[in-house]
Amino acid sequence: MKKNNIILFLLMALPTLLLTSCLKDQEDLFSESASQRTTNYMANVKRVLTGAENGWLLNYVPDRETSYGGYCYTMKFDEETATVFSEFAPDAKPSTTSTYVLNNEDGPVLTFDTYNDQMHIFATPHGSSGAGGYEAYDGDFIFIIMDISEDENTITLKGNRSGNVMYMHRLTNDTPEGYIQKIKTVKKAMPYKNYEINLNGNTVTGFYSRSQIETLTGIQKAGGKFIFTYTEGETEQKVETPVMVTPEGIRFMDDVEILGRSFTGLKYAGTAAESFTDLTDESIVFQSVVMPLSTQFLTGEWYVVYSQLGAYGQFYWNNVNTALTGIGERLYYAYMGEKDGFGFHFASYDGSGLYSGSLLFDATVVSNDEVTIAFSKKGAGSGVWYYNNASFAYALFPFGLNARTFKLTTDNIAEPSTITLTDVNNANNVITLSAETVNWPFDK
Amino acid sequence: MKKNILYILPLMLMALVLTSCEKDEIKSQSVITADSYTQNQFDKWLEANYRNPYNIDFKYRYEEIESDYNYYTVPADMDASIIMAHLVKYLCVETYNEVASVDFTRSYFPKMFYLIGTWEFRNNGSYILGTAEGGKKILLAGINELKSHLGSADELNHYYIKTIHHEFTHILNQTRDYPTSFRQVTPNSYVNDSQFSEPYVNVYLQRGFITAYAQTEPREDFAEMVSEYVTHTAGWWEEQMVAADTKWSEDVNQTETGRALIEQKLDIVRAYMFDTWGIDMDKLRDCILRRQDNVTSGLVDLTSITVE
Repeated sequence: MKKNNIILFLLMALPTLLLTSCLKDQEDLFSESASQRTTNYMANVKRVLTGAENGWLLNYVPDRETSYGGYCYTMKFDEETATVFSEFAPDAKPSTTSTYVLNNEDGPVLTFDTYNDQMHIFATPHGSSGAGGYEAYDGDFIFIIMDISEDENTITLKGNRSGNVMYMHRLTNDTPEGYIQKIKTVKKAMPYKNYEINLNGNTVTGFYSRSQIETLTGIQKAGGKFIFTYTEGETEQKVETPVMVTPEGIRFMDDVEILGRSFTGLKYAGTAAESFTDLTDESIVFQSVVMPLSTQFLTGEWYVVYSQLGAYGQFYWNNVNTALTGIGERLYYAYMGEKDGFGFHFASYDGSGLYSGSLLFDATVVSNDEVTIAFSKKGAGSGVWYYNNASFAYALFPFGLNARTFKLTTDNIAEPSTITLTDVNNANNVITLSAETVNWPFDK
Repeated sequence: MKKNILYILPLMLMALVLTSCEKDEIKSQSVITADSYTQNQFDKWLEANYRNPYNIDFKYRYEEIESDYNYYTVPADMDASIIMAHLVKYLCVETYNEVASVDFTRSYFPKMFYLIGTWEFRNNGSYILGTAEGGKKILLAGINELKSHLGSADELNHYYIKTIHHEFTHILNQTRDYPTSFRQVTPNSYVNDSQFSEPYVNVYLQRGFITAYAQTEPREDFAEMVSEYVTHTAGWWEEQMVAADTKWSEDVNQTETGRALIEQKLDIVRAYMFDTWGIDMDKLRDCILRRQDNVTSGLVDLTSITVE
């Protein structure tokens, strides 16, 4: 009987389990379904985007590490397409138009969903490794819409790939094209790489390193970072920040605090100059420094142009062209200079991808305008492969397969567009290299 | 106990009855709304030339969900996509209409194409031209480079069209498997990821494979056999056979010449295509070559998106 009682008790307890709550008609928090609300939200985003008469400025930041700095895009939207302007576009064709779509993926998302040779620069991968290689520049073309400000002048976006938060601002006083022109002007007026800042007797040095960005029209230098070095007490300190070129000047994207002062960027005062004040603190002055030519040669990037190699250099370089043609490739660029070591750096194109590499040199500074350089028999990337398989020893020969000493001259020491190397021991070996990026050196 | 049951039963019944709850009214409209989308002229052309006749979805706009998250890719260029849509229609869809039948194309040709702008680059410098998924979807990469390859049938095939025939062969195989005898011709010669490494990258013909990639595994071998055969002339094929007419000196176990091995495989491939699908490989090749010529000599309009 005891057992039966237990069973009876259990069975009687059963209904209490089944008598679950029956809370009648939970109040809806929203009057519409989630899906309907998203649809309405997207319609509102579209109204705001297409409603801006002068379009929008997008402060674009590729790469989750922000290693390439920030960039300004301007754009105008109509019902189906976006017209995108950027500092990379040639003046003759300042913009490219392609489609965009607003849809609901991880929340409301704006996607530039057909190719745009401006908008997709930072997302386009290439066959090589390193920056701009198979991972491109870790740039976005899919943006999650985080917020539209109440006055509808600012849209907060988040890059789908990088996770970077970016802002779109409604352009009111500028046209999209005009805004980009201002940026091009600032870039031109502030070309210096090296600066000195005097802070109450302490010297802080600044180095502006632009990133090399591969576009359809060749490699262009833009964005990048600003590196400060200074001494605090006994120790040498180094601070760096990604930068973005804006019509106001070169803006630092991170807060920089040095010796109790805060730095915000270099102010463009309306004309080309050699010194610039800080964007907010006018008592801070960035004085441009012109480095000796030998330093500029060893730390810069000086591009090879076949027609400027001189007859002596061309004689050897012809073998390089023959060897590359033999393996179905073309030289995309080659430069002497700094990239993780001084030397000869290049990329070769095989019809669909780029292979880049370096053959490193040892360098000795003889004087401010004289250097001795020699191949150190070391390579990086595909350097050694091309040395072994594409006769790249010939490419190095006029520069110093074995040590050569060059006298350096330039057209403008403050902002060289060319450097001419004259072989001290061989008057026939005279080579002029270009500061501007040169693609397809054998064609030029 | 008997008596107890009489008490228990009503209690249990009560439990069943008491679970009911007040009903919510069902709304006449779905709570899910589709994204609104206005068709452009190209969309209308695709509707008339792909979706209506074949139920094929030709996706040229980037959708993250259709992309492979392992690669950094970008959208396809719209103008190049239009050309690609014409090429797939003229060189593939209509070829199978002609050689097999419209019903065959409708039944088996992949139901979705998805285009992306660049190749899928791996970190070792190699890259993927296209992929097929589950017998339904073909992903075509590198569309933004299409225009530079339009003048040459070899390049068009190498980068795009051969890929489609290759992937379509996979789809046919996934629908009805090929004979196991195919795997037995060169059973121990597949080298997986070493196919593009020395020495295999240079000696595939002597080893009994039509391309270096065919050395990967049997199903790739099969797809390469079909796609190489139907996109090249008889003369080209014979050139390959002549080059293959020897044994690979480094493999002591290889008893037959590369040519003999490839031709054994070709017989199996031919028989499979004809017996299973009613497709004569030589007719298919003639048809593809004729159409390729028409494309490279500019006889086919690749840009019109007028809907008749």
